[in-house]
Amino acid sequence: MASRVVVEWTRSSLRLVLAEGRGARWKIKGIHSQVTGDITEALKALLKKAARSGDAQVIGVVSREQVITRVVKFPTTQAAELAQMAELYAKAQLPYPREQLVMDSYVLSQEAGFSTVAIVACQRDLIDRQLAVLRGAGLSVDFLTVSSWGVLGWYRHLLARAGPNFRVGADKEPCLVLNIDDARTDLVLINQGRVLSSRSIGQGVQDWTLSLAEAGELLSLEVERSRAAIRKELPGTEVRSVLLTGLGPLPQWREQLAQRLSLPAAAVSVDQTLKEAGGGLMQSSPIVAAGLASSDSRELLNLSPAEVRVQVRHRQQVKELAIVSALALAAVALGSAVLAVRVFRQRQLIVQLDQLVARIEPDAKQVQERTRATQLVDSVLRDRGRFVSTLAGIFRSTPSGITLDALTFERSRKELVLRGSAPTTQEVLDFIKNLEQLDQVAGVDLRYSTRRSTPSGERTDFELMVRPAERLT
Amino acid sequence: MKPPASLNPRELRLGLIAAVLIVCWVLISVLVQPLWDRAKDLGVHLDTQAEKLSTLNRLLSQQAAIDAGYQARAGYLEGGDDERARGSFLNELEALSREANIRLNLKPRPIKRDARVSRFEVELDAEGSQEQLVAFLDALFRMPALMSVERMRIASIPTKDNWLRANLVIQRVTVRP
Repeated sequence: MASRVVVEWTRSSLRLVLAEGRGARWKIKGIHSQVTGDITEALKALLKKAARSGDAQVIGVVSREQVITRVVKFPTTQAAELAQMAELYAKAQLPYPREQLVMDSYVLSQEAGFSTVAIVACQRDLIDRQLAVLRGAGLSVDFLTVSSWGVLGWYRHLLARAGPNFRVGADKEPCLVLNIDDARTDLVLINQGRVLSSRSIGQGVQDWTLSLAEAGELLSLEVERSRAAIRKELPGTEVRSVLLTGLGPLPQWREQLAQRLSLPAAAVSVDQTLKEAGGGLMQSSPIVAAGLASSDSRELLNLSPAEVRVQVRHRQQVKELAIVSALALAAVALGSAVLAVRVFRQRQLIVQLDQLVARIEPDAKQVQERTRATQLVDSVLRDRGRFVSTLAGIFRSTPSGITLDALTFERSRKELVLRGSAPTTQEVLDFIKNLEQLDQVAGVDLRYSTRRSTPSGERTDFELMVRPAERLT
Repeated sequence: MKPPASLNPRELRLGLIAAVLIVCWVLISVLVQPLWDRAKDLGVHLDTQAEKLSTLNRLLSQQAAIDAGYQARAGYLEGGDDERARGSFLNELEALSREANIRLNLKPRPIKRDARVSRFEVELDAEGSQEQLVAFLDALFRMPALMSVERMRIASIPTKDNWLRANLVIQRVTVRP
């Protein structure tokens, strides 16, 4: 599970909120605060006390009063084009050179090919100072955002926790949330989970030495100012409810505001929402830091300078690479384990097989030897029988007029040669035909045939080569 | 684990990749490859042994039939030594020649021995009348012995009417039980 640290400070106090979770689900684990003197030292002391995780995500908070916002209508709904147009607008219309600004933008609404975009910018010097403090305390910042998004995060957190018991914001939006802090008051107009408009006044409960009624009057006045600004920035958008939170006598102010503004109003004190996390008895409001701690960082406004974004991206890549590496190593280890098990099983099988083979091999060898002996006996007897039957066939097929002078057989040459004489060549040819009809004979070749005169008359000498049908002997 | 501060993210990534590759290489070389080779060898050995066992079992399943066939051919299988078998065979040949009343010359050749089989050849020169020689050959081929004819030549003798000469090379096979 990942962890997160949110750091926020005002003129008079420093807050640190720790959370654990992932994606859009975060749970606040601790809230710490301290009266500020030297912020860096105070932050170091708080971090030591909080015992945060080394690889926690660090979110810094820029006060709303330190940023400027512009609401602009652009003739496109494409994200890439909107980013370019916002960039051009920032260069031309903002009161500081572009290189001295850190900015981000977000879409308020899109309609008929037009987008209403809020551009939020902050001077680079302010951001650098903020980063220097955080780095001085040993924190590597992942994200810088505006306090208004903390109010939004807390509002969402409140809705998610309170559910149907909390009616003001849920069914009466846009809702103007007033977060009254020790030295600052944020007024954030929220509709459907988005910040439509926000203001901040550099006064909080510590600054008000007025009576309760006068402070309520002041708040009403500020709400009216916000409503006027909202009507101007976003024509047609009206505040439909007010939610008071933070420090001070909220129930009394809620009644006052409801009467003066004729709007439904609710009040939720810090005690009610963050008591169990350690923020109940604080002298400053942890609402912004707690709201950011419980938000999905992908939905926050990002005022980090380019180099911080690059560093964060690199850190993320290294982290992903480490995970991939761990998975690769785990896969190799798992594969090795599977192989080792396989080798072990194979060894066991081989031992069993070897024992079995050793047990039956002597008997089997004896059977094998007997088979060979039987086959050899059969083969010799069969060949001899064929040889004899071939000879008998040749003698039977020899007509009385033919005289055989010699019969030669050579096993290695696989041939049987007959030499003799006949009264006529025709008788020799007939003899060949007779021989060819024998089953034991595959073919007969006439090697030569010669006529010669003898005292008893003409004779034909011949020599035949008989090819046995199968191998003889 | 915190990475060393002196390394920038790019160096850290490259270092991590190199470390992972080296560790993987070492693991594969030291562990996976030898295990793989061993598993392969054992697989081959296992297949060979299984096949051998199957063959032996098949052979043993036919043992009864093979034994019966072996017993039926027991007359051709000799238990004595080769020299005695050769002497006995030559005596039988001479006896056959006497019975057929032919002239017989014998030229025995050396014995060739295998593990359980011995072979020796003998060259026979036989001379006699056609009837006598045919009777001798008939008796020779009917002998209840393991014997094959390697070479045979039968020719008439021009100077003697109805007289034949046979030259044979016979191989006698002895199978020890």
